[in-house]
Amino acid sequence: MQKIVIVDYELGNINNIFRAFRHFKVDVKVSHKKEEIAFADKLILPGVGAFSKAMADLRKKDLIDPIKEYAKSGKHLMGICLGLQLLFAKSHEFGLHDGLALVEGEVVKLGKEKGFKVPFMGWSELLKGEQTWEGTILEGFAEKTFAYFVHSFYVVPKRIENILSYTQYGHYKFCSSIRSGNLHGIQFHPELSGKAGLKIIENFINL
Amino acid sequence: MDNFNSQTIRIIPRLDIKSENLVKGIRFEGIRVLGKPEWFAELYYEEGADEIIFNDVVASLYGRNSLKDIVKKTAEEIFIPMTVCGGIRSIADISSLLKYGADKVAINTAAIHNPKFLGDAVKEFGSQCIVLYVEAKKRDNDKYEALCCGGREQTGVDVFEWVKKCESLGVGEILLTSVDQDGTGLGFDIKLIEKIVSLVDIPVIASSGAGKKEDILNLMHKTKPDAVSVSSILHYGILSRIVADKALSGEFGENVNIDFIANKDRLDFITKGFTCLSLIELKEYLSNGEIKVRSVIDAKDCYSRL
Repeated sequence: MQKIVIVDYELGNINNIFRAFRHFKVDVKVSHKKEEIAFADKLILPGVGAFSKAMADLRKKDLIDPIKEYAKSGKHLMGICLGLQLLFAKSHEFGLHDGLALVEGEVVKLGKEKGFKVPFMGWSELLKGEQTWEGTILEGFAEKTFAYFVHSFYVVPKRIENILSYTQYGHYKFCSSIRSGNLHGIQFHPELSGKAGLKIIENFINL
Repeated sequence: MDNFNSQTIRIIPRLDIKSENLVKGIRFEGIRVLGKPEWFAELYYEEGADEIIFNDVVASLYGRNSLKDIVKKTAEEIFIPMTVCGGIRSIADISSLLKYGADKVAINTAAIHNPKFLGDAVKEFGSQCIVLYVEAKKRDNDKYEALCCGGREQTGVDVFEWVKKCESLGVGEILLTSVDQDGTGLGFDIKLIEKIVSLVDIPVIASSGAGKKEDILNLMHKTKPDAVSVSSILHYGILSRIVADKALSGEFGENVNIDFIANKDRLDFITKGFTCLSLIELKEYLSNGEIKVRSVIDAKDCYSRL
């Protein structure tokens, strides 16, 4: 049975991500141990909160190199919410901060749009991106499926072909999920997105 | 409709809990047992609820919180945001509720007694996790007082000043109830909701008073809360559908209060003034009324279970 590891760096509530994986009766573990990360068949990088604090916490736990090593191995890694943003090179959240730099691009703040609040909290639709959903975590999804978001920042991949889905926010669209080879990332919360969210987790398990 | 104009409105069933039971009162009193909260929560999840709120209505009064088991059981089955409300007094209370599966906690009484607690909770868990729960009671001259302990205690705190203060302490959202309207089915206190929505930049969950679907549409056309929490019309809607098909009622066992629903005249009396419906019907109605709601494509299958 494949081993799935959720990276634990004590930031945010990951109980329900764990529960959502366990729902599929897979071997899933929350861990900050380097060897467990290295031997994982699939890795989840969760995260809620501030970018710079997350990077500092990863550094403190000496997890930056293990995650980078893992990503190079070619095995699947999925970043969720802040975990997606951490995959990028730079973030503009409260100053400019370096991320894991596994995906080219940066993280920027949602602008003010009439009728929309920041943080953006609630349900929004997934729209087609720049690559097909076939064979990805969005396999089998109808366009405009709703997902649950809680965020103030979003990613801007340098290579637009990395954009798996967009989400409409006021008059513009932001990138709500990415895929770059073995790296997957979603801005929304699969553990809070009802059956659609579970489907993403199932798809990731089946990659 | 114009997709660019607004966020999707969240429709949130609110489940009031006493001991292990789903209950519903009128103006926070005259509580009746309706059934097992886990069962109702799972049904609402299937029907496309955007979030769920569990509110322990006597937690502050008795100095306890009996929601842990309900939260724990429900979290295994439903994968939408779950807010827990009632009797949350410490950082340790929040930690344990999150561990059991809550995503957010809503705080009233403990915040009134010690506003600093809100700030501490925000620092520890983040704004997105901390909801301010307000029990507004109408007073003279368009003023409102924030009550606590399930609407039982006066505090002398002005609601409008209070929400501004709590916003500055970093809470991520406001769950606004009206002690005057709650459970009455007489419609929302639109003036109150409008005023709070205009005062703060954080999301506001409007609650209390929906007696028919038109009340919700009317509210949405007059002001723009980010979410609406509904209880009576949905709970009674489920019970009415079970009563309408008596053959089914045996299958629900302890999940619904059979005594409460066995006598149709009694149910009709209690639900008088409410036009009950399912969550699916409510969302369809709002959507037809140009209100943007999340549609759930496969929800209809589960509806046929009732």
